[in-house]
Amino acid sequence: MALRPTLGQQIDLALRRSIPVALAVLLLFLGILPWNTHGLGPMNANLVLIPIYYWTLYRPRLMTVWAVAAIGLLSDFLLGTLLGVNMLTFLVGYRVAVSQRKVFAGAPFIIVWAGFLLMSAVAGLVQLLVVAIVKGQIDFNLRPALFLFMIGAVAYPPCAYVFAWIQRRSMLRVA
Amino acid sequence: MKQRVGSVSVAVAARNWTQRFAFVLLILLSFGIMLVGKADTVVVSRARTLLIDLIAPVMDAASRPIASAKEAAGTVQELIALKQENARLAEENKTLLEWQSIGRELQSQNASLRDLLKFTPDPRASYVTAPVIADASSSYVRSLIVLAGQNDGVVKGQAAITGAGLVGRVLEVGKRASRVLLLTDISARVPVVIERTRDQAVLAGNNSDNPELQYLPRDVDIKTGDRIVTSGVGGNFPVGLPVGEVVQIGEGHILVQLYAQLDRMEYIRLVDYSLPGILMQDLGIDTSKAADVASPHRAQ
Repeated sequence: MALRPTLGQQIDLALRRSIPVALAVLLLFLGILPWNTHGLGPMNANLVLIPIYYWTLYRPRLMTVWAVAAIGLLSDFLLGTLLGVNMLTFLVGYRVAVSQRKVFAGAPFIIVWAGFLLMSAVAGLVQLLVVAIVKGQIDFNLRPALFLFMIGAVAYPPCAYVFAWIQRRSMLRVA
Repeated sequence: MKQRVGSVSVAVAARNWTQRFAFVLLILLSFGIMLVGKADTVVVSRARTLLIDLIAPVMDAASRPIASAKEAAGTVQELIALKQENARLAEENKTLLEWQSIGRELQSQNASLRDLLKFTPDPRASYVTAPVIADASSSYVRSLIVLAGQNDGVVKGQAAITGAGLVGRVLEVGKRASRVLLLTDISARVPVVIERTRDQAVLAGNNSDNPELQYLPRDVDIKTGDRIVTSGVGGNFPVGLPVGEVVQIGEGHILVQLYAQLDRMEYIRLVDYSLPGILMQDLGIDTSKAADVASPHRAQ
């Protein structure tokens, strides 16, 4: 007869399972702190793609499509973007990660990193397309979008290292 | 055993189908939300301001260590450049003293001319000083969240300035916090005038640090370094607020360098000029009420 987990164990498990989504929300909030980087460009939204990609590859059941949509919508509310734009962007990025999961999940780090760049580029292009349609213009400055892509590319390895550490420390037995 | 494997594979297939169905549903939902958001309904606006209010205390607490760290770094930089800065300030002080004597002369001349014309002076501006608690910018949006809202007398449409010049305008107002749309945002439009030639134009954000001048006359005589100030057209901002200066004149575009340093804003002022502007009238807001609201930050 299997032992039923106690209430404490259930809460502990629920907390552990919420770590991927919590990390994405944390990165979203960290990204909007006033770091005063206007000279360089905006820092935030694409950082959230990192936890979405990472956990979709390694713990897909803890980063569901519903969670991704909710994070996108929260991002839209916080950043003041047109509601639904980041939601759509994150969902498309998530779909790219899901579709390539079998290729990237067990691959060497450099391939996984390339996968993130692919996902980030596709998400960025979708966002550009939607904004161009909504705003009715395409001749605006694209430097911030490219800068964000670069920030995401550079930030992926350290973030992935930290996520892997968290995964080993706290989520070994969590599916 | 076979039956168990079969039921597991059915469950996995069902889960995959649910996931795919959810994905398509959520994509459609995001387009639906975009349509609703584009209409900019009261509900959407309220939801945004409610969220800003909710996160304001957290962002305020979280942004304080950053402000302290920046202050410490700034102090070190200042100490290094102390001698050089002192010489520059001495030189600047000399120039300012000259301007002060010119200013006093003009002030007395202006007072006597106003007296002659029976001129009614503009209402004095009142302002709220607010700390910047979030830099809510992304690839296609440039905005800030400041810790001052309706409780402090902030009203939608107010000018946001620093000591150097105009920064943007208040876009959304919550109880405790507000969102300021920066001049660099792609949807920001401000009526301006070239101070030297008095030619009117519109300063349009283009998603870069240098907004563009649009709708200038064809034969305009514009030079690099020309000062750009607000024209007061539309009534949202008063006449003559410093905005920036022309830095680049190219084929089909004239770029402006803003006076306000957007990368060094820890506090900004939200100014109420009590102007019956188009924006406020359209919104049905009685601007005279804003000036009556008591606030700990409020000053005149």
